[in-house]
Amino acid sequence: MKNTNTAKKQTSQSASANKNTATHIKLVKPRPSGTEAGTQGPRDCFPLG
Amino acid sequence: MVQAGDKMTLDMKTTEIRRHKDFVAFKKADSAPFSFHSKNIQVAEISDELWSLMPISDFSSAVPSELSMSQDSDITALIKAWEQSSVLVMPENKDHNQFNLTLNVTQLCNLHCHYCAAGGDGTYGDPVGQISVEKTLPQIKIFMDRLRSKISDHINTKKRDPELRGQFNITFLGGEPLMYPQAIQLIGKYARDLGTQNNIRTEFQIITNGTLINDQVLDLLAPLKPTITFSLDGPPEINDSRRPQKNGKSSTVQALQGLDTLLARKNEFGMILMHAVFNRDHLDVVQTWNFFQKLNIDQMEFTFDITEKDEVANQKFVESMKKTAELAFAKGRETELRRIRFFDIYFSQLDNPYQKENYCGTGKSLLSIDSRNNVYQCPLEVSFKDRMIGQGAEVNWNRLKPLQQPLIELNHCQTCWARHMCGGGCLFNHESLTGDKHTKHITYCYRTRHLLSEVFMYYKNSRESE
Ligand code: SF4
Repeated sequence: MKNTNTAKKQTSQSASANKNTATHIKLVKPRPSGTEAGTQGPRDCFPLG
Repeated sequence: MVQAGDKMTLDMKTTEIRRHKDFVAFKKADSAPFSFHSKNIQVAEISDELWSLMPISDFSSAVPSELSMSQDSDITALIKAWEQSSVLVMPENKDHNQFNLTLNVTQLCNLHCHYCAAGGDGTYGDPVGQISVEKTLPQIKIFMDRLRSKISDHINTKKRDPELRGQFNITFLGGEPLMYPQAIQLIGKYARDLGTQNNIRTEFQIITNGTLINDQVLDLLAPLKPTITFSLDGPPEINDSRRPQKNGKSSTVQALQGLDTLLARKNEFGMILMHAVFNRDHLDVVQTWNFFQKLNIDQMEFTFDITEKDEVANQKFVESMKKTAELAFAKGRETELRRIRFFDIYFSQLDNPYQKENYCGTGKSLLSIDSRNNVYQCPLEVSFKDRMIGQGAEVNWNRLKPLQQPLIELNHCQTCWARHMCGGGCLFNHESLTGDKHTKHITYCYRTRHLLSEVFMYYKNSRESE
């Protein structure tokens, strides 16, 4: 009985957290490109003058 | 020249920053707040209500402020939910299958750039006309064998795909490397053939002033399909005063002729980049961008001089970079913005998230060879004989031991929200500004954090949110 209650509570809490999350935090969706190492050119160090 | 305290068009109040632990948020005047989670490498739009509850921070600080738990509990709960629910983002680990080598094929140069990192005249204080190719080839073999055995260890201990491919990159530097293109051709071909035998992909880059490019030189280089980076600071009126020939005359005309010759054969080469350096004598990134964006190049890179610690110059550079990003985005949104390499690299990291732990591969996956075949752990240390870690085929690998920990730990960056994007910064830069390679100068962190906040904003503006 106790377990069920806890589970219920958690469910409703997380539902409200989800709703809240959607109201307050909208994640930006990445667009994975499957880039392999090296596709941006062979560079391991920036500051060469 | 910029003096400290100069008030010229500084407008650094335009981005506000707030922070709760690893959750950092930004707000620009008249636009909605947005945030970045520094462990999850995620960007989000956030509500004004959430923004208003977050503790005020500033761009010079790495101290993580915290929301007090007595504040709106729903909000703290949802930040926690975000922190806990996200997919686990793994640290980047390229040590096991990637190696980068820089090679000075000559330590002579035909120009005399005022801020030259190679001893002021391309020689590193040691003018050497030509590297010994015979001594270089065994060095390439040793480094490639070492990479091959690292890959095998990784496959055996981590039970990874036995076909795991390695990546071996060589950047040819000088002096002016095109004063000795035959060395690039011979060394490059040797590395490529050896790589093919070992299931290791090779890629090449040449950093040049562009003035010596002609069809004969390009014939030698084309089989390697190298990326070509031109060091050029902007239009002739800027570039000629900073990067003159030895006799004081213009170098820009020849560099642009070199570019035209290269562009006529663009399909035979990798990416074509322009790289400009800024310091207190040149802070107008917008002007340089305006010039570069009309050229038919793939990308451009804007670097702040690693020896410049003037805080006002630093702020002006940041402001000019922000303005440049605004213009680029207005011109062609993400595509045009990502022609600026800084934005391209970080967009790519946000699209394919990982936790960066090392700004560069120094001590782990990067070595440098000078024109006397001496070995160093960083291309910028070449002039310091006490930093030599090897000669020819003899390398004292123990000298690399102090750098085996992640740079973000060695540089004490653990509480900075930018750590997994920045990777702890350039050790040579830190040392030239503070005297200690693991102590950052505030200008470095300030600049990095400001520019990253711009990345997050444009990333948010280029992607959907849910
Ligand atoms: S070097 Fe980079 S990670 Fe380290 S404190 Fe500075 S900005 Fe943060």
